[in-house]
Amino acid sequence: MPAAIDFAAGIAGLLSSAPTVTALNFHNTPAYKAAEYDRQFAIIAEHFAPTTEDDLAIFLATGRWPQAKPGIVLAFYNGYRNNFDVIRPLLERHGLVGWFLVASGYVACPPAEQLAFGATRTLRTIPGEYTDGRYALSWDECRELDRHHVVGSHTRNHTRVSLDNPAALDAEIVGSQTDFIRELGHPVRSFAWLFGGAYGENPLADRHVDRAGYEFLFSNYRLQRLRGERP
Amino acid sequence: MLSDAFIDEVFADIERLTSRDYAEIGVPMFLIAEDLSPGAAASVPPVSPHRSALLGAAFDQVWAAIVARKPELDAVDISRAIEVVADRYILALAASEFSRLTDEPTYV
Repeated sequence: MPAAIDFAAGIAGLLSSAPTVTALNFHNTPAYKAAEYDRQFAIIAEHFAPTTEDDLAIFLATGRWPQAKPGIVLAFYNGYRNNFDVIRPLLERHGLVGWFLVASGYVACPPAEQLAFGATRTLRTIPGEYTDGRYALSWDECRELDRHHVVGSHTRNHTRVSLDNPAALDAEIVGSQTDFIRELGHPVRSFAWLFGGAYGENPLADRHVDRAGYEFLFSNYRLQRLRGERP
Repeated sequence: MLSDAFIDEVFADIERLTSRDYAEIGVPMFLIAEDLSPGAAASVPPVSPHRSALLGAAFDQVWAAIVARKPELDAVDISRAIEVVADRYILALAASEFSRLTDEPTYV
């Protein structure tokens, strides 16, 4: 498929010529894997510095990390409750910063409806993990994470939407930011697409990202800074 | 020219990596960084060209191995190639040069 070959050539060129950010992407983090995550974080903390959005802004503007070690984005996608229960204490034990990229509608969903919500939106749950039926973060947990870590948006409903549907884009991109402003008391700076388009690929989606005011956009192969003061 | 052994190793890595439960593990990734904010420089060169060159060359080799053996390529193959490279080099490319290990800490 020539398109894939052309695209791969472009990726290779960018990897050779542009700064890159190292990321480690997680989703569910069940308690039975806590020892494995603990060992990984110990090694990560040896090689990388805890990384905040301010650190990332400096790196994207200058190509340099402000700390003695390179930064790393430890990303936890979707808004799973086990990220708070299992991962948060491990990150803090190792002095690391987590990036919790949350589907705001999952958090807002009543616990009794979360299994059904997840089943139609590729949000996997661990059977029997929580007997009270709540598998998503609560807003209180999001607020707690927001104090020492990064909380960002991973859309509102974690569902594929047509990129030419303004109402759907508005709900997923702007609506999610509205949810965070209401619950955290401030807008979040980071947005991660569900299926990955970079800024510049779809003008309609870009306009919604601009309206929502996100500073950082995570897509399949890129991490872009869109606005903000010069660091 | 890639050796058959190298190509075998790439495909063994892909099989090993894709057999894991992605929903419960940390998956390393390298993301290309871009600053599109107002006033940003048109491009920011990597501070460490040798690390970037190593990363680009590693991707080129892994991609060439996939192209050599897989008749029909699609976008997921690019993801697999990056995943193999990130899995192999996430820690290696974060390490300082040995001769700088005792310098004042400034990551470049």
